[in-house]
Amino acid sequence: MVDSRGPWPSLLPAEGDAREGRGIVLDALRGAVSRPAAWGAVLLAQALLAAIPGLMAHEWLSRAMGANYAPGSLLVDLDALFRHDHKESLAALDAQVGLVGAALALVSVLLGCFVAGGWLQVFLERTEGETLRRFAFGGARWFWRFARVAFVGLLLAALCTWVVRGPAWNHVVLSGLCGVPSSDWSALETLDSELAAWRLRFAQDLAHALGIAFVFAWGDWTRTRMALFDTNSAAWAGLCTLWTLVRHPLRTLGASATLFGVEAALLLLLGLLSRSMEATIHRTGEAWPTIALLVLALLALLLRVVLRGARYHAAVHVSRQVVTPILRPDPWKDTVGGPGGPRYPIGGDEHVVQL
Amino acid sequence: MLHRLVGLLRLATCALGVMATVQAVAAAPQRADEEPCRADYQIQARYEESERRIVGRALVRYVNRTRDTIPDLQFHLYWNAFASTRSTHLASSGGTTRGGLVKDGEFGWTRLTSVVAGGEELVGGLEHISPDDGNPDDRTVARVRLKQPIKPGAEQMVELRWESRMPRVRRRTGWKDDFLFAAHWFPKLGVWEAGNGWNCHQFHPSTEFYANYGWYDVELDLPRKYEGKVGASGVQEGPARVEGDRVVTRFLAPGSADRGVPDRLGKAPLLHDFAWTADPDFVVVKNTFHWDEWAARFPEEVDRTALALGRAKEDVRVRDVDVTVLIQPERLAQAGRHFDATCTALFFYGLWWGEYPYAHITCVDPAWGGAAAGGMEYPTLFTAGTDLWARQIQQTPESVTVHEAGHQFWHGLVGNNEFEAAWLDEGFNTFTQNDALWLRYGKSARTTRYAGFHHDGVNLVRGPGGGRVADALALERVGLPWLGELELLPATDVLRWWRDQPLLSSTISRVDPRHSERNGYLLDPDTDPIDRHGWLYADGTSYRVNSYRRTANALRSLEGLVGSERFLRGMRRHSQDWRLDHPYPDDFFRSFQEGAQVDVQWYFDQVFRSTATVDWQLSVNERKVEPARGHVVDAEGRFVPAPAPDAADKPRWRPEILVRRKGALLLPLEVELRFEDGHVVRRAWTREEQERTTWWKPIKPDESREARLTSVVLDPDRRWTFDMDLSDNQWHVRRDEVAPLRHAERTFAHWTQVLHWIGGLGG
Repeated sequence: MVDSRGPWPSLLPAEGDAREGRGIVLDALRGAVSRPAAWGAVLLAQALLAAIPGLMAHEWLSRAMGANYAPGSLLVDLDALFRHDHKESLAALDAQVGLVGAALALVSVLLGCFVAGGWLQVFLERTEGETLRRFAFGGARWFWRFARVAFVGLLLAALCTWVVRGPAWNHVVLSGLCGVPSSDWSALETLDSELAAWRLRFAQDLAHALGIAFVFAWGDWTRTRMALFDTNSAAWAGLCTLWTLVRHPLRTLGASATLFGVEAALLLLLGLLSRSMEATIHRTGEAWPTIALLVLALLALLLRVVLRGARYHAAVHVSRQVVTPILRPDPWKDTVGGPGGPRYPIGGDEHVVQL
Repeated sequence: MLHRLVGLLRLATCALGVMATVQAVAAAPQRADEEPCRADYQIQARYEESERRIVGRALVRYVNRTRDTIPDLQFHLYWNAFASTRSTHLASSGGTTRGGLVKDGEFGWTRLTSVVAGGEELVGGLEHISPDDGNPDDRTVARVRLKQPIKPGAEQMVELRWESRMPRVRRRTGWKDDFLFAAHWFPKLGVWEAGNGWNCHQFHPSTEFYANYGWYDVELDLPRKYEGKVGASGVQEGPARVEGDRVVTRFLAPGSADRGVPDRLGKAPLLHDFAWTADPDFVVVKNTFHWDEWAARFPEEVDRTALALGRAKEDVRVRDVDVTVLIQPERLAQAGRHFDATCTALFFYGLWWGEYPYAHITCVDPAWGGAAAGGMEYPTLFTAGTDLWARQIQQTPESVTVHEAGHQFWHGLVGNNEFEAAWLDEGFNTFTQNDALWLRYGKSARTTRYAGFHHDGVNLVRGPGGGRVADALALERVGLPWLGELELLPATDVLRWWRDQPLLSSTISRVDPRHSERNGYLLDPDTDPIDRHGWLYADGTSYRVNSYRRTANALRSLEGLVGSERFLRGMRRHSQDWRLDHPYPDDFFRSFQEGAQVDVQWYFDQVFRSTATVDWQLSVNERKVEPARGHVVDAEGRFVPAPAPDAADKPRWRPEILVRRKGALLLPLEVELRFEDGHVVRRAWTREEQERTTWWKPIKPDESREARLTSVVLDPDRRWTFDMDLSDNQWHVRRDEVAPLRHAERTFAHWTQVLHWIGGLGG
């Protein structure tokens, strides 16, 4: 019997699920890369969202340049004179893109909810083929539940921010540990050197970044758990996930961190290539590297989309191993009977089983 | 005497009629027909750390070189600007200074305890005066009446004793923990100007300094922890003396080797101030500026300068100078860059405006929390300013170091009155600094800061957010009733770096340092004229814009007007005429025109003494000349039907070009027209024509050509830097389609990363 809400995900480890460490990561990468329909659709959606600010910028640039600048004179750089002469409209563009971009950011979060459901549906089902249909089905199926996870995640991020950048940091770290009076919390001039102040600020920023990274990772594992058990409560799943992360930090966060490392390394590589293209424009004044820059930007986005998929693949894999199945009441526990036929209580008056 | 000789030579030059054009120049007030007075100081000062107190004694030798009899003495007591929030300095800045609000325990003051002249104690008759604003709570100027006036040519010995409390560094001077920076720290005589009396202004937030030249011999008695970590104007004389838990260090300014020795311009070096600094954390780095090394690096500039000045290359060489950099240990890696930037100033300024005549110069890197002491100049010692991760491509600290070292020339050697005409040094220095930076370092990089690090690149637009609604939508922060603003997912520095992926998404952007002049000028182009007393500008912005960028911008256009060679000659002449002297604006105008052999008084009047601005606007249209229809007049004056067009005739085009001028600044303007057959036409719109009309059509209505226009450009040589908006000064038949795509792609790349990252919250 098939659940009316869709295929029931299997809690049982799939074939090869006993792999650990690097094997998990490679499997995850393979699993995500082999679904081009899924990542292609996500790439397209995200690129379309990003194209909106890009088009706004293009429209402004075309209007600002008009016929008033020699062709090629602003190709390499929008020089200081140009930026000054157009500073009001550039500021307006900045504000418009900031607002539209903020709305796009919200859309992007919701798209993320959908995409997460899609990836999980694809990875949890044993079915092969029809990737895009199953991806869309999963995205719709878990959308609202994952939206609630995103909301809880946002609250956790706010908590993290409050702790690392709010009164807790100010009173405990700045005043308590470093002896900085409240009047100097922003400038940190009480400290005896710029290096000390920089280290403190960097530690704060790094702590905040790590905290937010943890919240994001928690979100991935929570969504995976909810999909595995088909549960509804984001808060409860979040708490259980937190417990799982605490109990199995290496197996869970280790996989996330490894994939993050892969992502960082690939982005660095693409970033360096991108810089060399940008430098080529400056050196030669030619326009062709713009095409290469566009390709590199799309490639970077593609890699990140695939790696996000891989994170869910790894999370599914590890969750199947470390997450204790939820004990559900078994209505047939004390009965016997063939499939589809009548069930009889064991030890009842009507039926006695003799061995 | 030398000064008089220079003056006589100047008069003789005029009398010989070498430059008839200059005859028309309006005569400026003759303040400097007599030599300026001279003030030599011998100072002993002791710093008591526990109370942040300085107790000092100064023996001042004052020489009256004017024909006036001086009845009294007026002193600057600069530190009283920090005595209370009622001083003119703090009251007019709302108690806020460069380093923020002055808090309790951070105030400072100076009190004269004894003034002895002619063997008589005069301190009983000491009075505090406020010549600028009458503020009774301002005690930055003091006056004592002398029992025996100082007669013309006479000298007066005055013994001063004072005590002072050092302020926390909030503007230029003071302490921060163990770091000490003592500037304008002793009772200092004002300037007696021939015929005008004392020029001794109160200390305003937007004014700096003015003093007579002289010698300084200063002995500093400090706690022993400062041994070997003291820097000061001049040169240390002998080793420091350790006396118990104290160390005594003596400085001579100028150093003993420089005293009385004429420089290449024939004047023996003097100084008009003495500053010192001490910090146990200082790392002392010494090096030497060698002319030969730098001349070999920039031979074309040496040749150009020598040619423009009509001198042999050997005649423009300058002396080698010992450079000491006192730097904070965490920024030691930047010591070489401070040295290099100091040498940049010594070389280029020396080459253009005459040599730095002292044996030594000290560059100070202020301590953490003492940045308000940074970016300031004193004779033979200056403060720079940097940050831990500053990169050379940003020209930090190179820019500020070149600027402050450059002040050794503009204000150190040409000692204008910074109270009344700060632009004479700040603007001249900004102009020269930008040229020197350009030649030595080229363009500077625009960077984006992530966790203190400077990434070489920028984004056209920022990330999501930027207002209450946008911030809430971007999930950065949200305003909640009762709870106030709640930060949700703010893009703090490390996160922002990961979000933006700057290597992938930013644009490399470079800035010509000279462009900062025009852009700075346009921040406030018409509130005040340039030539105004420092405290009389409308506000701090007007003071800064006019004194620094607008003056530099005016000089840049002046160079465009007269040509770079004449400009160099004019500025060199001014620098030379007023070396170790106190010029005023009219002195500059006169010297420049004499040196450049031009008459541009109209330019000085318009640009330095008015608020006139200009914005040229260009509109272009091109029409095909249609064959005549109807009736035309033939050779006999009769109307006859217009002839039918000949099919073999090529079509002709008539450019319709209209140039409009908004604003009252009248500058001769050129326009350049380029045609598709390669023909280039230039036309000029004179100042006289501009006086009659505010618009101009460079092409007459009956002019037509077979070739079509390809471009029209106003001021094609970019002589003028005043135009309020350059975006309407050109017209090109071919629009640039590629540049918008190139820059929009960068925005797209940026936002792919931003949106992908924020999407991670959803999954």
